[in-house]
Amino acid sequence: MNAEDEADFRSFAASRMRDLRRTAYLLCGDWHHADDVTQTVLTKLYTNWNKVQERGRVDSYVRTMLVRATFERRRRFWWRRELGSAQPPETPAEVDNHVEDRLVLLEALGKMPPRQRAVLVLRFWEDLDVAETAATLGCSEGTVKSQTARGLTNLRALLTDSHLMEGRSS
Amino acid sequence: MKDEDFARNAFRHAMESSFAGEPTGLPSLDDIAARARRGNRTRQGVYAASAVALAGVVTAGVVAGPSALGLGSGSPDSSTAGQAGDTTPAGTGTPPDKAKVATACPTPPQIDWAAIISQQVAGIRVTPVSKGSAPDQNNCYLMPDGSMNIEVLYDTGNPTGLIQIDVNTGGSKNTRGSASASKTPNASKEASLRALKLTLASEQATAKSSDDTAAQKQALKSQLATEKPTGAATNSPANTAVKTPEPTPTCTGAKETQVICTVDVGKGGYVGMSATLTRTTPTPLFVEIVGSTSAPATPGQRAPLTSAQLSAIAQAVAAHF
Repeated sequence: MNAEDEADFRSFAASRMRDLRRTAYLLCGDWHHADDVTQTVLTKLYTNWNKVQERGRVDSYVRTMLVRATFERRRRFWWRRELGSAQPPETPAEVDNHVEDRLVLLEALGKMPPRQRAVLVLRFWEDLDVAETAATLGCSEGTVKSQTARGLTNLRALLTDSHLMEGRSS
Repeated sequence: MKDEDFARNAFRHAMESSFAGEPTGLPSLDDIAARARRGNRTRQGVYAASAVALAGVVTAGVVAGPSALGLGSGSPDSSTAGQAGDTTPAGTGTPPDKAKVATACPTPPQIDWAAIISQQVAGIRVTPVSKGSAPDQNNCYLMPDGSMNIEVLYDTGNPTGLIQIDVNTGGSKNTRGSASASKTPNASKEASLRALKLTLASEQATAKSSDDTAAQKQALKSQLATEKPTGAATNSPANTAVKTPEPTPTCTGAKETQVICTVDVGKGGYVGMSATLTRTTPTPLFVEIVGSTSAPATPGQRAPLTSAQLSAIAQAVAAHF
């Protein structure tokens, strides 16, 4: 990779890394795993930067890699997964109610099948349409539609009594 | 509220907070780039090693594959059935082993060779002599050019002698016939050598222990040793010095149809006669009859085979093809 390409890659990664990590976080529910997945995806992107640039579809390419990396991580056997620390690092005190909302949302997403969860994240967090979501997940648009319908039903049912639902009602 | 809007608002509401718990720092781009470059180098090293190994395997396969599959190789002496004629340069190498280039006839012709000989030579009693390399009892081979070759050998008895019948028929070309019918000195030399071998084989078969026979065998062996090199190096001065005039064959018949040639191939202590019949129509045919005895007939013994008798045998054999 020449200097110009490397500069382009660094510019893209710096601007998109935080969003990618948040998407990964919604997909896997763990910041550290999201960090690992994001680094893995960006490393692969660096290797294939020239080919991706020619296609002009960097965002969709990265998004697909991100989803697949998250799925692949879930498929690993338990002894290959990285273990968390026995004593988690101290975190600052929660300062607003949004943290609780996020935990409730993640808990609800965690109860869904991985593909259904990915459909909801891509559709309503990444704001992708049905076709883009199908292309990212490598499935048909019909599958995306059916998964979206089931996911929304489940999500509404799981969040009915939560603060998020109350907030929307008020 | 529609489910879509509900989900969209839920995501935005949850993620628009201060992101407590989110790692403050982002992964280092330098580390990511370094890791990617290191992965590239490792991958390229593996590819290069694999390519070298693959190239070695392919090269070994190309070199050794044909031999392993029994398809022969570039060296003429390792040729196999059906290829020896192509890989051996004409006139430069030793002729290929017949067992490698010829196959046994599936249905050899049923011919009573002993009866043919007995009918043409009054009072002769012949016994077949087994040839160790024969694929079947009739010594019949199918040659690579499509022709059929038959070789039979009979012991003529009193006096010690042998008679050999060679028949070559069919095929696209009759190389043996054309070579022998050319009346060149080499043709008569070939017959002479064959007669020498026949006589020597006859002597070994009967295993007589008289002094005369031993002396004759020694003389025959020395003659064979002298004759063999002349085929390959006839121009050498040493061979030219001991070279004796080759016998001239006597031929009858029309070249376009059938020619019978006889030649006296006797030398030293043995008596030999050869008759060849070359026919072009209706079926290309070459018949060679070689008769030999170890010594001239003594009183009370049968006279050696004559050229007329051998010619008659050749024509009788040709009548079967």
